[in-house]
Amino acid sequence: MHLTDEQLILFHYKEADDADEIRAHLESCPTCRNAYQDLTRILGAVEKAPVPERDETFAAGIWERLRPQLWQPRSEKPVVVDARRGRWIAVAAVAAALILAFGLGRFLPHESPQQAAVTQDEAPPDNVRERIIVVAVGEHLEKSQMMLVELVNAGGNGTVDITSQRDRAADLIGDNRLYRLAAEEEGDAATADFLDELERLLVSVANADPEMPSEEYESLKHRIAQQGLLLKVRIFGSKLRQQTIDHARDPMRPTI
Amino acid sequence: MGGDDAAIVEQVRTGDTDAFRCLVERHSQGIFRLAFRMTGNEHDAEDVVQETFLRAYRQLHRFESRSAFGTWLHRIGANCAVDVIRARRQRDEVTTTADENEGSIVDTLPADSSAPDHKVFKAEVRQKVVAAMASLSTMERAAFVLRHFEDMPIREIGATLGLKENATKNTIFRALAKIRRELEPIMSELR
Repeated sequence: MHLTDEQLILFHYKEADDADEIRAHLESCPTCRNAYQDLTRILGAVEKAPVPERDETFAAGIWERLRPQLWQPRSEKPVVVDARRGRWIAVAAVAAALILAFGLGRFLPHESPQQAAVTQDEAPPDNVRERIIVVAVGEHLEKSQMMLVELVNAGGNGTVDITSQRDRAADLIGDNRLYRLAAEEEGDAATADFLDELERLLVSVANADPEMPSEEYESLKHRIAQQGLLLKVRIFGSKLRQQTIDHARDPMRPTI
Repeated sequence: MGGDDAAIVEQVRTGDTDAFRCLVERHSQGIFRLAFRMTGNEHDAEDVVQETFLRAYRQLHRFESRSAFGTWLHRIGANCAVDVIRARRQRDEVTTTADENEGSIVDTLPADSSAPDHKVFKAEVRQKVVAAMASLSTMERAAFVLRHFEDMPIREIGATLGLKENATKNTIFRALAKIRRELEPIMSELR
């Protein structure tokens, strides 16, 4: 029996589990050895694909165009500049979302003296900030919901065009990941699990072919239905929206 | 500016935005090569380089210093290139026919009309290779370039492209089958 193309490819890239057996077979089988030589010739030819060189001014040009986008007003600077504060905000976002959505009333149950100092010094726990955070989380879930609704209704024959949903899923991943990590850090397994499910789906959609084969699309739809993801997003989102409305009517009402 | 990548990343993290320039200077050529191989187009590749560094800067808080910055950056570059390819494909579907599109990619080959025979043959090989690469789907091209040119393990390619390991393998197998089909007419010349 001869080696398959797949075995030869994996062997070439040093990813074959049975590399020793393949090597031994190649030594004894001229047919497979010729096939392997053909493969290496093809891959050698691929190396001939021309790649234009950039001169020394290329990096400078990139930097010149990039620099104005990096210099932003302090409030818009990326989280990297103040990562600890960013993390607190994310923690508060998930916590606020949870409290508002389900009224659990168990936020910050085991705050250490060190954590308390960080909270007081670096992250003002005022209602204005928290309401902004709640709105941000609500918007994130609303965008996720809209994307999911459009996705499950995309339909089509042969292939399904999910270009728009794919792009929006890619945009949502970053925020979702931040909220999930914060939930994990708070030990809130239920929320972390929900956001993990949502994130996995967002990643799948973001990396899917924009023209998804119908079989793959039906499988994705089935996964969304089976996990009840759309329903969960709706519940989280609608309760957050309701809470925001309540606060608009009664600004003195405590957020947390 | 000296120092290793990790040290420069720390500088940027503490607010020294100008230090990021050093990372741009060190890695822009490598990202350009990756982007060009994935997109087959110089202009798109330059856009990918620009977008890669912007995304990297904005996501710098997610970079873990125990891994290599270049590897992390190339992952971002690969994702940016996939985005550009998909966007371009959608745009081209509206404005051009498939045949016209193929022609424009092949036309990126450098002209060498005065070359002697062996150079003409090399140019033909290159042209066939470019055509073969152009025949790949977005994922096939991305997976193949990452495996072949970037030497990225299949498991890692899957993580970058959001594919399971077996799906990644199959994508690479499909890519190579297509390349083989395209190069078949000149295989005897390659032997």
